[in-house]
Amino acid sequence: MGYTPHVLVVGGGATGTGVARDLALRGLEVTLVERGSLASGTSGSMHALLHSGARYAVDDAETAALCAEENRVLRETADHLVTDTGGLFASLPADPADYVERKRAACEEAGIPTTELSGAEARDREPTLADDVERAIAVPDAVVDPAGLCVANARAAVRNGAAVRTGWRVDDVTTDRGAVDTVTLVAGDDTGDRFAWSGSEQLDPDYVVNATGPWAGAVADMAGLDVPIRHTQGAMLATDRAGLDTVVNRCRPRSEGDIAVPVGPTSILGTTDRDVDGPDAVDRTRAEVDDLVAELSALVPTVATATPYRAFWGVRALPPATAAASTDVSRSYTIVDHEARDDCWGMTTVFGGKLTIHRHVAERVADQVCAKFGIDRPCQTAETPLPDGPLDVESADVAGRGLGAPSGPDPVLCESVGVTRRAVRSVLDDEELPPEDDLRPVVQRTGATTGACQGGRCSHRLAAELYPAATATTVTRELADLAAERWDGLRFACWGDGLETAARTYDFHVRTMHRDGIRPPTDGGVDVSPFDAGPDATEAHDG
Amino acid sequence: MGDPDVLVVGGGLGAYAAALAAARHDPDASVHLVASPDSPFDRASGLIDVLGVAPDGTQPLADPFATLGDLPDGHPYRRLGTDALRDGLALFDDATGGDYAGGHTDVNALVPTVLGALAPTARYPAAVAPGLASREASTLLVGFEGLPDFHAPTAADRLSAAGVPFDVEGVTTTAPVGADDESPAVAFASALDEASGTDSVRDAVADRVASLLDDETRVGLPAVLGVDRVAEVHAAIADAVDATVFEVPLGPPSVLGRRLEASLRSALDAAGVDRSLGTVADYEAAGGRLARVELSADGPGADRTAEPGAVVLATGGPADGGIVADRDAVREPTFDCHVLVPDADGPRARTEPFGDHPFARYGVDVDDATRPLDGDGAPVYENCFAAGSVVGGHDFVGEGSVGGVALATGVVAGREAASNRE
Repeated sequence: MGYTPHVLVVGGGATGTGVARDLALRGLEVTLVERGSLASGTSGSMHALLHSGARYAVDDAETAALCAEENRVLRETADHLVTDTGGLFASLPADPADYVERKRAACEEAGIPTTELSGAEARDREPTLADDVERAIAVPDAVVDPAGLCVANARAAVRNGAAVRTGWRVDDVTTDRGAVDTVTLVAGDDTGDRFAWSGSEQLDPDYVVNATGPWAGAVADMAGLDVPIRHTQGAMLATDRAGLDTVVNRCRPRSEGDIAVPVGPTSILGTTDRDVDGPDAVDRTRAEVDDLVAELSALVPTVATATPYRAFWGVRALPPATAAASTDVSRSYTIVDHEARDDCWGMTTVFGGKLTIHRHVAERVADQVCAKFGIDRPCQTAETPLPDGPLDVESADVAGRGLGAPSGPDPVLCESVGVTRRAVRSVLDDEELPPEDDLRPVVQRTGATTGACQGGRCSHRLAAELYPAATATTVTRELADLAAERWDGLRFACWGDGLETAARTYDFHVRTMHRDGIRPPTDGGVDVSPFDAGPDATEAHDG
Repeated sequence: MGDPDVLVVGGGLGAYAAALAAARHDPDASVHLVASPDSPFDRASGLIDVLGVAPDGTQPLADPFATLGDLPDGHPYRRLGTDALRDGLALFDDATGGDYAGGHTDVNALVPTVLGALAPTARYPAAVAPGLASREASTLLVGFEGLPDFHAPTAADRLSAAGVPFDVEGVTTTAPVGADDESPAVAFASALDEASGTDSVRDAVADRVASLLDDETRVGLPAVLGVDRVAEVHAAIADAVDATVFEVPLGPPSVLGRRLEASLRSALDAAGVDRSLGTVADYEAAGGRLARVELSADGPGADRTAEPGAVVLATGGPADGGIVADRDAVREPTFDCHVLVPDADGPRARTEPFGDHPFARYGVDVDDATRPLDGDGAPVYENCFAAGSVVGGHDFVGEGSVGGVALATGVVAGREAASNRE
């Protein structure tokens, strides 16, 4: 094989991990860097829908056909990450009368199998549908675990020799005589102190793939390259399951609040589509979440009374209205060959795309990278199964967990999802993708804290599991981060039982745990002398 | 139950204080307390805080009574006066007898929490007292693998980092307790209640703790040392380890909260207060008074209608269902009282978990007699009084005053209800 080029993939979302996997399977030397944890950006903030393609069939036949194809590929290669819920496009009286026909015809054109249903037949399949749903189309929509997919991609890359480095962000990219030269990594994400290690490191890769999604413009800019991106934000609300078993779409031209996806113990309502200045400028409002619930209630009335768990926002990266001629722009993703466009050798930028078609996008990028080095090896990702992780799913069965059992106590840490200590430990002890004192991989892979109490009752238990590998100070910080992240979703869900959950969480963390009173080790300590030493204080100092 | 002179609706500290105060104020008055089966004591820390932090303060407050005057106008302590708070605490001390300590002084105690923070509090269970941070005694914290709420090593590290004036270590051990169908804390407490014997969990725990002890003079254990036989359990462990034993508050379900509830129930029984489980299904107002209340029974008993002389609303705040909200509006669902809703169009909670949350202030506005007020500042009903966290306008959780406010409002609401019955 001779010379093996070293490719640095920047970004641990679906696209980045997909590219890393593809290149590693083709035998290239790959390093993946991600400033946070895997799937901590757009890929981890989506509604988990594995598109059949039907959603795009009318406006974007190319994306629809790609979704249809990749939907089949993922069901084959990532069966353990896909739940076959099926999907419905349901039409309400207010929706355009001819849209059902148009949708169906376009689906057929794109190779998406459909079945037309009457309102009654649709309600037989999905009883939560509104009584005035008149017609519906059944399509092979499904649910996929987005973070699980990124982790599986990364795991496959590692098993094929790649290095995956979470907790490192790209700080600078230098160019020399029209080529990308060095890349400087700095430990930690934007918070600067999440990870235990510190420092910076300079890499000298042969090629860089910038797969940072909505942040791709900022990374390209470090190399002096201009990648204009239009950003939009999308709000989603996780509620209790609301009785939903099927992916439900509104059968009308794409608009806000027209999809509900059953995901594990929750349903996710989506989504909105509003322009935003950049990936870090998301404008979170109560009104945007209210709009989602109001709109979806017409289609699935149970969501109006469902218990809200948390709202969250994702940021999409789209090409601006005028894209350069040499840019390969699909309706849904963009691959920029900086050699062709900017005369700058050594970097490809990719953004956009859907999680469903991430493998296809990664293949296109990997093809481009291989071509740069004259490497002609076929892509293997469409046929190679994605690996499963070491998650101890057995222990997710909480029955019979005797605390005096011979195997030792395996207490439930997260009651609302049913996650035991053994499941948490299996993530923390994952040697292929070590979580590095970070609780987010635990949350992603076990689902802990994503249920009714949103970590209010268990985030401190999860954080303690980091000890003794991590210090008490790190445990405190991870607890604060996890609780803050969950709170930032729950605070938009303060109605019905969601208000009760927020109030109980606040009460428990302040009054019982006094978490807000944990004192930083640097503040000089507490003077306990003015405080009560007990009714028998005179005898209390003899110890 | 007939028609009680005073009907107290609610099952938390404010409700119990109001019922006791009513019965003591007028021994001839019949007092009935109707509580929802979802007991707020299960969520209680077991500590009774009066004021934990001064307005705009960041440090734990040593002397709450010296700071009451700095509280904003309209705060229940200002509105009802310091005497109401002192009366409430006296009522509490009397009702709980030797189960609680702290009444010997005005200053706060610092109680180590499960996380190893220090919670300022005015009253604390006697079982917690030996662990106070102001007692200089070398300390061993012992947690159990099966009880993930208390991780002793990190709690000990945080206490050390906070600069407590004693050495503290933390270890985790195991105990022969099974918990297949219930909370591990309740399973531990029940198992420890069992008398000693050959398979005694109490003895096994005592032996295990003794083997871990070095030269520490006190041992902190999670607050699961029995529900009914606390003194016995403490004595058995203290004897085996030859050190003072204290408990660290856990929750929910809070064993300390359940003990407090039992203690207060005995006091209610002794004062002749009737109790039942249920909720208010409907009510009728006439002539500016609450005239009829329909109660739906939760548990044994039938639905009933009562025509009480006076009513105490003590249903709690947003954490308890005493204040509820849909997406559009915040309501007091029991008697439809006007609710104070700061920043009604903005977010209901701030970004920071310990921010100045509007929801934490949701509740009814009250007059000097604790009557809920309408939007114009007039009493909603002449014979309705409010106690506990259903009272709003201030963040009692954030300022560490939930217990004191419940006692002060409870004692005033109870007395006023007993005096204003028809």
